[in-house]
Amino acid sequence: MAETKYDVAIVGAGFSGPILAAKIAEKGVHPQTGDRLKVALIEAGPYFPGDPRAGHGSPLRRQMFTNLEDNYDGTYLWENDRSRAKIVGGSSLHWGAQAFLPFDVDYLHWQKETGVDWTQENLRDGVAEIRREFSVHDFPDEIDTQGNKLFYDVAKEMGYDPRRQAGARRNCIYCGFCNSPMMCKYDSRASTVVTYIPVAEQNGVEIIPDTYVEKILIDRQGERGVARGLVCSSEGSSYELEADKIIVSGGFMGSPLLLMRSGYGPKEWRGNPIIVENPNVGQHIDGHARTPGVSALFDEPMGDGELSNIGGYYMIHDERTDGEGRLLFRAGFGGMRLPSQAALNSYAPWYGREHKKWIRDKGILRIGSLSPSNSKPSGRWYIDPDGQLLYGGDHTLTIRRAQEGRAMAYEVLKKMGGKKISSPDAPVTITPRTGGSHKVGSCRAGVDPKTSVVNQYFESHDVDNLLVCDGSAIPRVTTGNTGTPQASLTVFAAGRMIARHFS
Amino acid sequence: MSKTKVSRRDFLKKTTTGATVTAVTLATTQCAEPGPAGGVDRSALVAAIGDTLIPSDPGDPGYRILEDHNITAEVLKQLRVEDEDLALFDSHSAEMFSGKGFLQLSESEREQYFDAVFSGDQIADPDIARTLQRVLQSIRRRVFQVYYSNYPEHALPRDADGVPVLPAGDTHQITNPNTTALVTGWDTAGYMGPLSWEEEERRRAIVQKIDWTE
Repeated sequence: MAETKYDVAIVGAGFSGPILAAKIAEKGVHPQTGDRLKVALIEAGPYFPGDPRAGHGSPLRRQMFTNLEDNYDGTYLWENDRSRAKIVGGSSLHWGAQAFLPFDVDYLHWQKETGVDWTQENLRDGVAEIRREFSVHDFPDEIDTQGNKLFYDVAKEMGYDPRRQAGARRNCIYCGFCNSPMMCKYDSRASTVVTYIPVAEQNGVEIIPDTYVEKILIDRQGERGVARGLVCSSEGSSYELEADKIIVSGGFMGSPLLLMRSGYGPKEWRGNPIIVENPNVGQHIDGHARTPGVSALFDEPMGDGELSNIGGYYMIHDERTDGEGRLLFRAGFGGMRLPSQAALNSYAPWYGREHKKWIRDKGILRIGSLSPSNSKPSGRWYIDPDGQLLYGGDHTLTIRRAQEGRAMAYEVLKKMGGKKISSPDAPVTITPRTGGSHKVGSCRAGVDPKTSVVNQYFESHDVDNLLVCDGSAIPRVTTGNTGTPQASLTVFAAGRMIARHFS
Repeated sequence: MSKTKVSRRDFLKKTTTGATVTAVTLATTQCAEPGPAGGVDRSALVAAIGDTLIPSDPGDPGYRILEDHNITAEVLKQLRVEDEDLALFDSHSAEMFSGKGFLQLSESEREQYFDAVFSGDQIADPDIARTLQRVLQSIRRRVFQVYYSNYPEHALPRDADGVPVLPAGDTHQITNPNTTALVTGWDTAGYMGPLSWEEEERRRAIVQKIDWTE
């Protein structure tokens, strides 16, 4: 069992928790005594420690991350949501590690949405640190597929501005398993396990794995709350843990659900009774709504399958100067897939000897796709009073831009010589059950307590000693995936927390 | 092939297996156990479908040889197809092939039946066509997943803590369970699986020349 009194308890060791733990333990001091801080980093899932060695891996992780489809990796996911990681390192261990650091309009969207002062200038140091620590750099030309190169030439000729994709990897040997996605055996993918966890350990952070935080202990004081500890459970028993400051980094679902379980959230919540009301907890969730892309089958292989296909190109299409309705296209041509994925590809023959030949001849290398995603001012998910994630709002712009994006993708694929191209005309339908990716904002930061959960310093508007920093604090989804933007923002957040609470 | 248009209700009434199908409706659905269950032999049907999806030829084994390793039982574990629908899939072939159920068909007849089901245009009743397609697509998905995930050489034994048990003498934590003793999905696909140490080293040698920092 862990000790029970800490200066700082951080809940969740995914993308943000380890960064906060490392930086606060390294740079922060107790504000009264000047002593080093006693920091706990609590994670519901397991921890596989080991000295990182990029390109080789460490023995335990090499052994645990088997790259097999035996469903064992499901052990590292939440039982009730198989898209969310439950392991020290969290989703940083199974993201695609394609790096889309914040674009200019992303900062502007954050500011416009809730008034936060998260400007490009203010985040400059955070972005620079993540660029360095996550080894963000363009994928080398040597691994480019001929299909990707053809895409680049055609897109250029059509007046677009394709750009080489950047990756967040060090010494990647392009095994291709992160396409699956599986864990990286080789410590190459930039994860918090190979970057910030070692720093956290060097600075005395106590990592407490396999421990579920049932709730935050919140006392009511007048109209406000005061957080004073956590109720944790591990190996079937519960215990209380005291902390002067509690930082929640449980992710876009984990964080709001923890707050609501703790009595902090909308009064309509049907879980535990509400101690402190804030109707924004679990609301305003932005992300990239799932809309179909366009794919094509070519006569010839678009890649040789040798060094995988990681890292193609992307291109951006704006119709407005403020970037609302922005389309981001990701291009991938001639990439390998696992046999079980290739076998079920929509271009594969249905069955029999033809299907076997397709598999044997690596027919998957003849396929390419352009997948548009859309940044939009409306359309948000929310957690309903029963804890379900639903999608609502005005989807007009999303649907229109998705259709436009697919039409553009179709023309590019046609010009590239695609023989069979999936139809761009099927209607885009969005329902409350529509899923999406890169979700953020469920405990969003903002200057107005009426429309947000934490302030721009990541402090709860309503509960003293409680802070939230992870994807849930980000008011708008960024242009690309949120991996490196969230990490950059977390570095920035750590600086703010140290300045205001730990110095 | 019969082009007679019949409703699903009529079809169930007039086919010889109709009574069985009706009875199956009342029985437990989504049965995950292999073998006969309420009149439909799930195991035999799925095995026959698997054999047609991934056929075997001399020198080129497919799904069938893995029956010795209980591949169909593995497929059935997570197959979400109701007995009633599976029975319909079996019996509907009688409409097209002179009263023969699916298990009685030759390989080429099974292929013709698959084509008819996938295209849907030779099946008069749209409800039946949709059901048959759903059955075949579900089984196809599961068969391909299991086979091409390299069953039965798809997993490593693990100790009580969940740590994979590696072969004695392994010093590089190589986690590839595939062997040359059995032709499995990866062998069919020409897929190497998790990298061998030699392959890792080969790749490192390439990447060290283009994008490497120690």
